[in-house]
Amino acid sequence: MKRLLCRWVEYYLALSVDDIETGLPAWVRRHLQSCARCQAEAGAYRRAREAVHQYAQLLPDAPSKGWQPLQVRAEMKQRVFPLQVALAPVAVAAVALTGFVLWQRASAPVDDRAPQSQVAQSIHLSQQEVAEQGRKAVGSATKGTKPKQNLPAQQVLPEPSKPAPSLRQTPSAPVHRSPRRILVAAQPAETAPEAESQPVAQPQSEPEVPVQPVLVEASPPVTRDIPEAFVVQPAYAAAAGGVE
Amino acid sequence: MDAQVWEWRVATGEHPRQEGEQQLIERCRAGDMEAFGTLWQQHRTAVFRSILGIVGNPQDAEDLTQDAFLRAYRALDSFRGEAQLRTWLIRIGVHLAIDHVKRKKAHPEVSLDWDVGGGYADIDPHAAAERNELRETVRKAIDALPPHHRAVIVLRDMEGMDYSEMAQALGCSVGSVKLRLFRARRLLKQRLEVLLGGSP
Repeated sequence: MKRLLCRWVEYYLALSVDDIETGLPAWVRRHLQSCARCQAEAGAYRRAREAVHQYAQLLPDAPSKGWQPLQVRAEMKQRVFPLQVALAPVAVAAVALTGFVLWQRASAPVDDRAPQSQVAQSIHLSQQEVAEQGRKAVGSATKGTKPKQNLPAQQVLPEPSKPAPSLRQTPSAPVHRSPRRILVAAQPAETAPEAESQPVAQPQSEPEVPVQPVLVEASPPVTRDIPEAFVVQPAYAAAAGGVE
Repeated sequence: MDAQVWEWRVATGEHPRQEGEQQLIERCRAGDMEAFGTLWQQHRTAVFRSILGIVGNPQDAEDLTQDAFLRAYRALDSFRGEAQLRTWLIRIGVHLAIDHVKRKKAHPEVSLDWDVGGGYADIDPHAAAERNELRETVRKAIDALPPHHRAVIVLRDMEGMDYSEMAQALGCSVGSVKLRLFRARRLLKQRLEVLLGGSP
């Protein structure tokens, strides 16, 4: 294994290889006289330097015929350059015009009197229908009582002259009440079209439906067949004397 | 000027005007191709040999030399004169060569029939064979080095640059140049010892 001093000597040998004898520090030269390993290293570096120098002398010169293609390429670049300069403002103007048009379209104010889209109109109409049906249902179910819980839902319904509010602005409806599924199961012919016209995201205007009769009709039918084991046969009944 | 006449003048080293390098640069900036041809004639060999020392293939070196001069011609406005024009041109060529070697990711092929320099290709067949063998051996040893180590070996041992010029050409500090050169020479020495059998 090399000693630390020999490693430093090798560093100097590698970097001072051009003039090994005179370019080295004095302490390195003294070490070289006493260390056979570093003397061998110095010889190896010297041989490597000589081989590289001989290789460098064998390298060919640059071919002189390379000027013509280089001149052609350089002059072609010169000819192309004014065309690029002429086209650059046109390209910049086109990009700026396109960007301005897109920006104008994106930031145009929404006209309230403008006709609404079909989706907004359908949502608006469905909200009006739901509001009407909700008022009727409340009136029939709670006769003579004050509809306290339905008041906020009726207040947030949009007016016909205003544009349809977005989903984010719609107040959330009470979630715990879901009689609609039961109502559809009990009276499919009456409530199915209504359910189709109602948007899914507008549950706040559901009409209040009486729950009790719906639960009775949605229960399993009572006319299920009685197993034979529980049917009292007439012969046995007559023997018992209770049944004709 | 006729292209053939100008090419003959360039090939024979006959320049239209002996003038300073700075004046030639100014004329090149103004679009004077004649001045650019003079600069090409003065520095093409140094750039070509630096590139050839790194890539090892004369055809690739020739193409890269043209690319280097073309880039230099386009970027002459950015040349501030802090370094010599030769160092600046070699820097462009060395970076192109390093990128070329990295892009190929394979050792460059050395064609056996490229013309050896010095004009003694046809004097002695035995000596030519020895030179070819030496060239192949050294080329293999250089090709085993990383591209940045090849560059320092070429600039120092083939082009004879000093440390400050190498630092300008490689875009690093003098200390980095010394460290790279130390590692490159140590690797090259180890490789040559193996290839030459300890007695070149």
